[in-house]
Amino acid sequence: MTSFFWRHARTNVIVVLLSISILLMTTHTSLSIGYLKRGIMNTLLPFQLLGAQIKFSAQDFFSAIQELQSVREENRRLKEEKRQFSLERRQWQEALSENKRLKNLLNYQRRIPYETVAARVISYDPSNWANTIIIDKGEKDGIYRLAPVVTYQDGKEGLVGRVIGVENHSASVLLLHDQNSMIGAQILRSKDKGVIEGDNYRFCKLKFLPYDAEVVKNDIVVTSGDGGIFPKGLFIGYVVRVGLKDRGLFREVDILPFVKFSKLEDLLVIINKEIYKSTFKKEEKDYLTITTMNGKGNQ
Amino acid sequence: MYWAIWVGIVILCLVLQTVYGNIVTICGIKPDFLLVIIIFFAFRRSTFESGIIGFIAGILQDSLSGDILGINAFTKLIMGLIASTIKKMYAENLISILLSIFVLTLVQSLLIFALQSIFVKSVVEISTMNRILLIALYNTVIGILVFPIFHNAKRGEE
Repeated sequence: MTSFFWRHARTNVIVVLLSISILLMTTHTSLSIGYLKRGIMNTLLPFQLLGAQIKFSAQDFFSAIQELQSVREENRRLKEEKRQFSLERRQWQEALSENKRLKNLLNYQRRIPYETVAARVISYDPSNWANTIIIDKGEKDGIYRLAPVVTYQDGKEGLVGRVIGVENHSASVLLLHDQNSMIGAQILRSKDKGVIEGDNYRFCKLKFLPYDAEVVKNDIVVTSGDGGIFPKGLFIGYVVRVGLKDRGLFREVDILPFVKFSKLEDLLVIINKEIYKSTFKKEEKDYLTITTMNGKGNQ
Repeated sequence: MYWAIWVGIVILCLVLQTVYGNIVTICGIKPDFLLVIIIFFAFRRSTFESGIIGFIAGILQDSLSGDILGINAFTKLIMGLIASTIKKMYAENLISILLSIFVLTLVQSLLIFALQSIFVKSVVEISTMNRILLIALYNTVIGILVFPIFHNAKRGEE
């Protein structure tokens, strides 16, 4: 019997294993089989844990890559949003600043006792030796030559200059600090009068001020109204230097205009019908005179 | 040493099937790596050894499965024996192995269902047959992927 088993050992082992399998299947609900299953499971557990660890590591690695991609995408999106927001913020700030500026200008416009036309600066003078600007209102809007131009800037009102050339829809304004600009002015406190002349830079000179004029630093200078072009009392600037009394008939005083000419944006052109009429009449008269003279000459 | 390597491969397949099963599942079907490995083993080893490795693989699978303990041990032992027998008729090449994988997967599944119907009274439906076919196809695809590895390993052994 034993020799038969060993002669067919391999076949017998297989038969035994098959029998064990069938036995296990038939008794798979028994407690002892449960122990056997649990024992094999516990033996295999470390391998499964190792496999799971590798799986989780791989999953973490790939999710990290995915996360990196999504972070990159989000970063790009946020940058774009930030750019959009900063653009909108800038536009909003500009609108706010413009609103504030226009509101101040409107208040100023209501305060001054003259008819005014609001205008905007279109362009500045390209030359270093002339100080003019071009505004977006012209003859069609009621602007005339020599009309005074004022503004309200940073909480201060001030004279800008005067119109020197008018087109249909634009006008040239000679700024106060241009060397060709001469305006009758007076010290607000002492009423001493002189003539404001530009220096092409930042300051203006108050010339022809009487030798004994009462003027001190920080005195406010306004238009005197002499000459009929500029109404009386428009703010020009304040005294920054007073010339010595030692010689000459007049004193010379340096004035810093209230207006910052490099920041001009919104302006008011004062429309004085009387001045307009007189100016027009004078110009017409001059024109007729010149024409007549030329006519005579030709004859 | 040889046996240790093969038992290691069996454990590796078991881990793959249990831990990574959800990754390789397609339409609710996962391949039977162990059966594929047993067939590859059977094509180069004796019938006895194939039966042993089939039994070991099956009993390990049963331990980790909620199925009846011994059902896979029984079927995989049988599959090992059959595959080893087929080897005697056909030479080891890709076609014969793939055909064996496909047919033996069908046979194993039918056997499992037969045993299940005996021990737990499960009913085989048509959808189950489709499922078996898909498993057989999936196993065949796995066989295609695994074949070069074993083919090169065999060359190395020789």
